[in-house]
Parts: sequence; C-alpha cells; structure tokens
Amino acid sequence: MRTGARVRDIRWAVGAFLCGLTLSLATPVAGNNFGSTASPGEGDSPSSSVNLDPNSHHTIRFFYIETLQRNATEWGLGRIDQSLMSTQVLADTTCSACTSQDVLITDGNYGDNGVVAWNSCPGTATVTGVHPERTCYGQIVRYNNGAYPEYYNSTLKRYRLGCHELGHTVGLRHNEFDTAVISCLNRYVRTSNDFTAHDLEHLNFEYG
Amino acid sequence: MMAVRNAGIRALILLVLPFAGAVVFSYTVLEPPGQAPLINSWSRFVPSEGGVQAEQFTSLAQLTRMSDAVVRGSIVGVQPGRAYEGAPGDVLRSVVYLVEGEVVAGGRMDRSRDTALRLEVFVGDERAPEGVPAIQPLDAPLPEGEALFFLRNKATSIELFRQTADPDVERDYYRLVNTESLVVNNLGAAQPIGGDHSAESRALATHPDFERLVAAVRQASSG
Repeated sequence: MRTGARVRDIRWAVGAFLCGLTLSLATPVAGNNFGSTASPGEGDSPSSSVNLDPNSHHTIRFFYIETLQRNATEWGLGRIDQSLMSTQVLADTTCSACTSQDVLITDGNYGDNGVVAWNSCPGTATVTGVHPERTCYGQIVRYNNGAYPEYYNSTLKRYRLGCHELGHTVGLRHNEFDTAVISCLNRYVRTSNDFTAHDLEHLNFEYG
Repeated sequence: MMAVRNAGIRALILLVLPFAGAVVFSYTVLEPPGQAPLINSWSRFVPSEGGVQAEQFTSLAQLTRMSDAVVRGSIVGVQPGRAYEGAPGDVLRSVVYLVEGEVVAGGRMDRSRDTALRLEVFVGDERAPEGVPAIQPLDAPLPEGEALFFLRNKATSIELFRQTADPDVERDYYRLVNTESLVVNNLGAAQPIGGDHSAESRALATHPDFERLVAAVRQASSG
C-alpha cells in the first residue's frame, strides 16, 4: 500500500516536471537566440532587425545585386532545412518598396556607417504580432560591400554573412552568451557559415 | 495522518516541479532592462541587433586604443546629413549631430574647420509608404546630458577599410567606432547605450561610475 502511494507520487512528480519542461520548450522566445529584437529603449519598434517570418514558406527576391552576394544569399537560404521551412527564390525585382516577398536582398555602397551587413523591417513592411514574437513581411537585407570590401573578398566570408543575415530574417538572434557555439549567428561571424542544430531546433519549434 | 502528509507532498510537487522543469531549458532573456527616459533619448544612436559590426572590441582598454578620439561631451545641435544610394533607388540618409566637449583620449581629431565635432548617424530605412525617407531625428528633442563618445574619424575608415571615398571630405565626419561605443552619464552612473544585451556593452559596464569610467579611459590611453 505504501509502495503504491510512492509510485503514484513519483508519477505525479515526473508528470509535473515534464509539464514544465514542455511549456518551456514550446515557447521559442525563451531560447537564447530566438525571437524578434527591439531597439533599446524603443519597445516594440518596427525598425528592429531580427524578425519572425509570418509563415513557414520563406520567399526572397533580389534587387540589383551582384552575383557574388546573390550566391552567398542562396547559400544562406539553403542552410534552412526544407523539412522545417520551405524556401523559394522569386524573380528579381526593380521595386525596392514592393513587398511581395518575405525578404528583399540587395547590396551596394551604403557608406561608412560601421555596419557590414544588416537586416531591417522598414516602414513599408507588414508587421504583425508583438515583440518578441513580432513577424515582418517585407524585410530588407543589405550587404554594405561597397563600403567594407574586405569583408566580402572571399567566398567563405560572403557565405558567413549570407547565412547570418538570412538567419535574422527567420527570427534567429546572435549567439551572445555562448561563445563555444560555432554558428553563423555568432555575433562576429568569424567561424562558421552554417546554422547549428540548436538554431534549426528553434526553426522547427516555430515553423516546423 | 498519512493522507494529510501525502496531500501535502503532492501539493509541493505540483507547485515546485513544473518550475524545475521550466528552469532546465530557460535561458537568459536578451532584451535590456527598463531604461530611464534619459537613456531612451540616446537610444537612437544604437540600431538593434541584426547587423554585423565592422569594428569590434572586447574591453574598454582595447576600445580606447582603437578610437581616433574619446570625447566627453554633449549634443548641441543636429543637421541634415547625407544620402547614400546603395542599390539604384535605395537611398539611406544620415543626420549629423554636433558634439561639443573635452577630448579625453586619442586626440587624432581635426577640429580646425569647426568648433563642434560632426557625428554622422544613419537614420535607417523607416520609409513612409510612398517611399520618401523620413528624417525624424531632425524634429526630435536632442538627447540631454553628457556622454562618453568613442569615435572613428571617417578619413581613418578609408585607410582601415580601403574605401574609395574622398578623405578630404570625410575628414570632417565621425562615427561611433562601434554602434554601441557610447556611454551615457546617467545621474553619475555609467550607462552603456546598448543596455546589457551584447558583449560590447558588458565590456563597457566594468566601471559603473561615470567619473571612474572616464578616469579608466585616461589611464588606458596613457598606458
């Protein structure tokens, strides 16, 4: 009789533990590098640079881009496991303000602003949800290769940047606190041109 | 008696273990903590995460040595900046903040042409629906109080990054070395503008007192 009660207690304990574990894992924003970002002090700013895709079909479109940066972007897009999120490259456009794609990709010389490449959710985009689960349809990735050519002078460097910025367009943040993780989402993009299994797990939870 | 004890144990299980389960996979939340209005007025200098910085640092001493000038000063004005057309028709604009203050370290700044230093900050691409760039910072109140600015002269950038711009033009402009290399004097406390969500801000948060931070910069510069 006493043994039976203990077994029931253990079942309760395991059940409660797993319940908490499941709730935690089911909330992707609790992960250490997933979720939209807000500008410091600005709260839910649409200009924030990491955004979620509102759907599980990630489409990109190129806008006046050099072949080298185009190839790097397609590399980054290819790092997204198709079983988690389907991807598609749409026909090129000459309209920078048109938002018939999840992400517009372009390059050029955007001046010495201290940033090599970045992703943004401009005023023309469609924003839904609330930070840190805000989605943005019509994001723009810009490669500042004209101002910082040394960051673009090898295939490996470009592929790292392509993977990094594409990651930001699906909600992946920098790996700030775990320097041991080798991911293209590392803040300084020095070591890897690919996502980690952990990065892909986030995509699986959100879009899979 | 036994039933009461079992009920107590189960209640404890229900209260405690779900938290334990959640803690196993909980991570540090990256957003900065709530910031005072004073800090908010400075936040326009810092774009949120999502870009790759051209210059990085891991310590205050390293940032001090990297900087062309470290200035303890205030924003005294703002002017329309320049337009940068990256791809055809894709124009980003900047504004120029006028900074006056004391050069704490570095001193490789050319102030022969102007009394105030010209700090160029990109507005971003928050375009109106019709595609017209909105330069909201020109209409916004200036950030109040003083800050410590770690600056890169744009003529130096041309050398560092082999850029094609005209050094005679760029010599008049500065940018922050890194978009988070600015620390506000928040009622005597040193408040890195990037909050605490990045490695850079944590490197600047080693001296919580603003005066001590300035002293540490002077020491790093002379060392």
